[in-house]
Amino acid sequence: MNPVRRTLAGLTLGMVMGLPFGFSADLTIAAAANLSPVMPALVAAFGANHPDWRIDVVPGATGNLVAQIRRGAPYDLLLAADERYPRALVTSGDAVADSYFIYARGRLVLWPAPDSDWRTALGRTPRERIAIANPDTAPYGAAARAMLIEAGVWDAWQPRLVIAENVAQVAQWVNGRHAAYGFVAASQLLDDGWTNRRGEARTLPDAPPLPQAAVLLTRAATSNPAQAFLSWLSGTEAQAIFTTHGYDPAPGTP
Amino acid sequence: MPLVASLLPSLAWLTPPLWQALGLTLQLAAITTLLLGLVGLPLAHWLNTTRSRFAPAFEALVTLPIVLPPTVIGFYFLIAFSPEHPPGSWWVTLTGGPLTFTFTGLVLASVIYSLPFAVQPFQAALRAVPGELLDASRASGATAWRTWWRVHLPLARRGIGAGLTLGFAHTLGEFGVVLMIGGSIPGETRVASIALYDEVQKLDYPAAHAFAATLLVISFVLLVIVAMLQRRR
Repeated sequence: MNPVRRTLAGLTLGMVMGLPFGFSADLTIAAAANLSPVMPALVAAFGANHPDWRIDVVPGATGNLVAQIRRGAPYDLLLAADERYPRALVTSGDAVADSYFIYARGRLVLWPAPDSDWRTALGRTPRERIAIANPDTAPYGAAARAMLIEAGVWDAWQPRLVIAENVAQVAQWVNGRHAAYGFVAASQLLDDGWTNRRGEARTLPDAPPLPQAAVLLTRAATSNPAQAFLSWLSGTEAQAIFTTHGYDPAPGTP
Repeated sequence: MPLVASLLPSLAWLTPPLWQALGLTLQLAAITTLLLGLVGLPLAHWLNTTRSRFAPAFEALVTLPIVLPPTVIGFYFLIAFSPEHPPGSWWVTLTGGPLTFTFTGLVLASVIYSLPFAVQPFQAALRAVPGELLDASRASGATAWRTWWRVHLPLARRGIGAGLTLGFAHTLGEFGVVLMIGGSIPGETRVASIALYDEVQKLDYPAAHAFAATLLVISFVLLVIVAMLQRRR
């Protein structure tokens, strides 16, 4: 074989052999979009005790992540934004049944806070765009839709609603003033930068609570790092991190 | 045509909202293509004939949308449309609301997104017209405009047709840009590619299949037209 061909063959072989080493992490966590601000803190705290484990986080709307998991995505854990999706994975056999537990509870907020009660301030025909996450794939979007249906304004608001891929995009649109208001997770607004620019958010006591559940995925049933992370997640250190990041602790936490 | 006939039963899965999305996409593509012709042809001619030393930079600018990830294009449009600063703020002063989430905003973004797909075939077509014919036209007393309109463009019409068809087809498939600035508003910004994506996300695969197949057939037919136009007689 001539030298050029040999070099090319060698390079190709090297790249192919290098693939498993380049891309495999010890632990891959699929995390709902609203967790993006808190995941680095969690991974750092957990990783401090396990420095030789490489941990990857894949963010997305819970529904999207579930669709990917059902199609064989290489994740070990799912940290969802609700309970329904993890339960569905257990039913379909994609997740380990007794790994299911609620790791935190989220709060839906309206951002920025209107001058008065949101029903009065925005009314039946809001003049400006209001952003929500896709209710069919994002639990925070579904919670917003449920609240709006309950308040009787869902249909009336249709012409003014813009649908985002996930709560992170809702926040991006509100931050850039493309939408005047958005329904986001309380945990997304702890960064002063955003609240300084747009103001505080309004908590919504009428919104359905958002217990967020985690499951171990079947493909990682024997994974040591995955099981270690899940059991750490319900412990005091992790729960404290959740609380400082705008979540309510899991039920049963002291 | 047995292929098309076999697809007809699956059309039953297409609900009115999906037809609406398809109609919106065709509308967007048509208006974008019109603008691509109006803006792209003079631009192509200028790129072909300019002696400016910045010509390569301008050519590169026009070619950028082929190379850039659509989400990058969408991201910069999001910034541009923001009501907080020009140019987005100018639009707000004019109309009272931002360009984001509007059909007009999509048209603007689509023209940029599909620009090189139209302009490059235009350039090739215009360049292929022998210079002697254009010189002869001018020498016979025709003005520059008359030469352009009555000689240059008609002689380049096949390649121009190919560029317009390609621009149209490319706009049909626009997704990443619309995802960033669209807001998925039915009848306004919820184009076919977004609607299809939504059906897949909702795990409604029969509707997704029917929709995807329809888009595939339309795109294929358009590309056959392009290929026919680009062949030598």
